[in-house]
Amino acid sequence: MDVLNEEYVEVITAPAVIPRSLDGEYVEVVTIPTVTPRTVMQFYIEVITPVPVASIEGWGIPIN
Amino acid sequence: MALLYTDGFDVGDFALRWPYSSGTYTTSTTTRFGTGMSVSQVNGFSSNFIGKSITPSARIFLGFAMNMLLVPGTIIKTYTDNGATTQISVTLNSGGSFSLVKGTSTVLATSAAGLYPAGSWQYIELCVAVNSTTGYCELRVNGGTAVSFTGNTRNGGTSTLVDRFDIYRTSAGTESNYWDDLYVCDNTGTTNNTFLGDIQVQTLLPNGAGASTQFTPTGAATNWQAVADVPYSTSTYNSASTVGNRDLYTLSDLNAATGTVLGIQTNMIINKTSAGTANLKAAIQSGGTVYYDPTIALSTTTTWTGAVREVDPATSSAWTVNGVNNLQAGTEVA
Repeated sequence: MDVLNEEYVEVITAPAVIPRSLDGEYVEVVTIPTVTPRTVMQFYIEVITPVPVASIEGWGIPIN
Repeated sequence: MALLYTDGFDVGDFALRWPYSSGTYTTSTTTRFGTGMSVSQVNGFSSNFIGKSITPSARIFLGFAMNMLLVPGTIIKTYTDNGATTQISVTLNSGGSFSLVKGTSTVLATSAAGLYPAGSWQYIELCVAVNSTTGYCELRVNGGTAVSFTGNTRNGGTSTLVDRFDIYRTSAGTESNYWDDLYVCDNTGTTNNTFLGDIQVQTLLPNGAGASTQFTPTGAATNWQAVADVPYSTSTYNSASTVGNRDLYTLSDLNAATGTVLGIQTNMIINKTSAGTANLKAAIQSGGTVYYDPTIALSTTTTWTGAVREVDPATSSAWTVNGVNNLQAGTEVA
């Protein structure tokens, strides 16, 4: 006895239209400003000098 | 050039001027002469240090004032090969002696004891010339030779040119350690080419408008006030973008007791605030003529830059006290 449990057909199809999605788009531009401000936050001069004079802060002869 | 660098630690820009460090450092009003500031570390470890790269030199002379407890340990290291090879080190020993050390462990020579009283200011100077046979190193304390060594001072590596030094604290704890009045020179040129002895670094800040005011101040009433903050502030500054614009300031005078001037160093803390090439140079006016330090290409990162002058360009001779006191200085857009 012949038995057929299942039969099906697979069909290859293509949609008529394919939707495109765009989540984000941007442009990067390379630029140089017309002016570039220079900033000076501190200015000072250091002067190197020999230590001038030796000082004697105490001197004496004990008297008994 | 012989004088390479000097630092009075007086204006609170330590972090910009010392790129190598470990531990937390602050400025302190504890100083040798009761004026200005020193750099201080209050709570730290024996491995804490401050370090700086220098112009590679065959023979360097390094001097600074030091005030620490008498705890044995390394106080100075010198390096070659872009800081990769430790050459001559100095250790402070119990009993107050010092040792010259090749690398970090080979003792070359040791001084007499009792040269370092704990917790007091002493002026330390070190000479280093790295060579496998004709090397030399010498340590001086308050101008007197404590210990020296001639012979093999080379601890490996490729170069013999010293290009970095570090200064260490030796103790671990909450006590204060202080350093001040630092200089570095080499043995080239005709002046400042050996030990300078016990020196003081005096810091002269702007105190008035000079002959030219062409920058725009922000955060201060006048241009000179905008750049005279101690410590510096990023909210007070002068800015300009037109090449040739110049600011000049009058400066505070030297101490009345000053006799000899060994050199000056102009110092700027600068940056640029947008993209594009931006150059700046320090300007000094001496004898009525304006002279310039080398042009600096700015970064958007705030940067310290300094330039040494050993002679007054107006006279081509050593600076005098009057020459410094009559100086105007500032910056020019380049």
